[in-house]
Amino acid sequence: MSSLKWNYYSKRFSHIYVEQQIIDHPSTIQLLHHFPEAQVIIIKHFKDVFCRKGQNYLSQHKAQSLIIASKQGKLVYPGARVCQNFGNEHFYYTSCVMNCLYNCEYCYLKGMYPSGNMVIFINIEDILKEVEQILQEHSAYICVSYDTDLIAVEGLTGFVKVWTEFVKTHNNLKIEIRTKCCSKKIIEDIEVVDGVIYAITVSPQYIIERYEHNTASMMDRIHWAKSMMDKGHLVRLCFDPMIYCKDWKYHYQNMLDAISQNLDMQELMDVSVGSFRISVDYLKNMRNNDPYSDITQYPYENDKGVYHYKKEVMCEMEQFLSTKLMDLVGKNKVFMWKK
Amino acid sequence: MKKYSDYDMDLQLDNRKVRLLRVIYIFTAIYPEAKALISLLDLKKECVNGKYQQYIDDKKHIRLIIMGVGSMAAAISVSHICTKYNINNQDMIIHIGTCGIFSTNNYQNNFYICNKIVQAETGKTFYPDILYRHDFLESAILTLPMLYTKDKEKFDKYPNIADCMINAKNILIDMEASGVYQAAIQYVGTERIIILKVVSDNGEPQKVTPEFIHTIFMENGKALVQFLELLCRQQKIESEELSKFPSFTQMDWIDKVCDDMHCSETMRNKLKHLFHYMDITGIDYHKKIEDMYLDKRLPCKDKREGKKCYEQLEMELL
Repeated sequence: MSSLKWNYYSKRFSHIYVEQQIIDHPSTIQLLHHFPEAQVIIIKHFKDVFCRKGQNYLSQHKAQSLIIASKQGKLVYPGARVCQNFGNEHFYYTSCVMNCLYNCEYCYLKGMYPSGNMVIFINIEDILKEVEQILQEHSAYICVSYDTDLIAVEGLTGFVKVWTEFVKTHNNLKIEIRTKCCSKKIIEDIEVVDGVIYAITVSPQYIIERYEHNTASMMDRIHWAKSMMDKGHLVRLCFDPMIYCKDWKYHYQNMLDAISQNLDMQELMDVSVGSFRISVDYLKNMRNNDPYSDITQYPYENDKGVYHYKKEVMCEMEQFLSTKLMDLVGKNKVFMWKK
Repeated sequence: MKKYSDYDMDLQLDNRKVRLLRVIYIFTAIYPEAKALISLLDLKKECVNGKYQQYIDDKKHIRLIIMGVGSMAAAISVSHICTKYNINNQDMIIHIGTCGIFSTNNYQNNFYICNKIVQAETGKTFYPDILYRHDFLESAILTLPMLYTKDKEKFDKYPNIADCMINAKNILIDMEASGVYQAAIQYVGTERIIILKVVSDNGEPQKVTPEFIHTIFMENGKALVQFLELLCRQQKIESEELSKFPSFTQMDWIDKVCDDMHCSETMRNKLKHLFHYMDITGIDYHKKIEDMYLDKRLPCKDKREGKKCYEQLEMELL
């Protein structure tokens, strides 16, 4: 009990909710094995816990619970209009995991989900089957790590490995794994596969410290990107979302300098640039959840259901970064979000 | 002067009524359950003309209410108290009481925090969040409309009981938990409801005397007090965090600025939001506004001038 003086919240995943139908599934047993001291609570359906009334995302995130479930219904969705498709015609996304270990103040998950708890869907094979059906009709580009940071939970799920193995046997499939995690395990263990793009979100250290809580530092992300590139992986840098702050030009310039000094820019697959934008409904929820976050309370402009910075600010920020990046990586490798 | 919390505005941020005093409301079903808590927490009887006996500590951080037996009585009582004291997400609702246990093993008179509540009549299941550290055991609890006895035929009409027993080595059985939860969730969040139960028997309620209840509460008294202290400290920390932000007591002043800008309702909300953002980021907007009054840019002549003035202000501040 003495430890209570220092930390009032339970440990992450001290409570694990498991759907009754998958309690004996080998993946469930394997997941539970990681948390021998956790309280295991049997539930009928993950939504009984995840979609409860009266949840507080921020508090839950301080003592995140885990929900182990089996995903039903539609498993692969068309990409959202606020997301960059990198010129791919058939753009999809899917979620094997819902919610993230990290706590980025601007993250749309806080507005999209009613709960801060993490859900792991163990039936990834069903998702792969649905992808296979899509691939029979046409090629596809699928973002598999939008609603989580899949690399950050690789130690638990092994999903990155499953996806890379799957891509290896499907030539008309490209996947993007977006991350802010710098896992050495990925560098060491994951095979180089054409068609798997590791997209690392890069932000100035100032922004990371203020808003991207618990994530890797800027330099760690740059070094990780270098190691991945050296090994032969396809690496994408995402300067998205760009966050406005008083000295944004100074901070983003410093970040660019650090990147260009450490990475062979020509070896990057591509880069994406986009200032912070979010759907009106999500931001409404986020403002409600976190009334004292300057990033959620910023007076954004509402443009047909999407909030973003004022046009002048948005253009200036995106122009600044994209122009410099075009000089560094070439014009055709810079992707910008267009409405 | 009106306070920020007195306003009922459209802005999301205003829906969170800022109140720095946070209270833990403890609900027990009967007096013998309350008796030990009254002495452990040094509570004093509050002489109020009301339906329920209430006890409160010196600092008014803990209020204990005796709500009556049964799920319905519990729900009515919680609802009444929540409305009376304007309980919201800054407060906590804790139900502490005795319960029976259905166990495959021998049982002990331990305290449990309930992580799953099943209402026997309907099969409805509720999951309170357990975010705070504690040293108690955890278990599911089944709320019955009658006392739990070993008379099995009595329970045949509740098929949900069998569902509840699946994969459970033991399950707690009481008469109030689901009522407390269902009423409390209308006022506070899932993480602010705690159901804390001590096992009194395994289906032999006739053996449970007031003296016995007092004894098992006192045996676990230290852990109980420690846990409640932890919650009080947590409430204090949250309250202190909030107090770092501006007190929002200048609503009259803000209203005057809005009037002088001839703000429409939408613009008024936008301006208040802008000020709230400035408060969070620490940007001094008061001086800017004062300068505008000195420059005669405020008060504005009409709506059009007001709109221009607002745009100018926003540009200068952001």
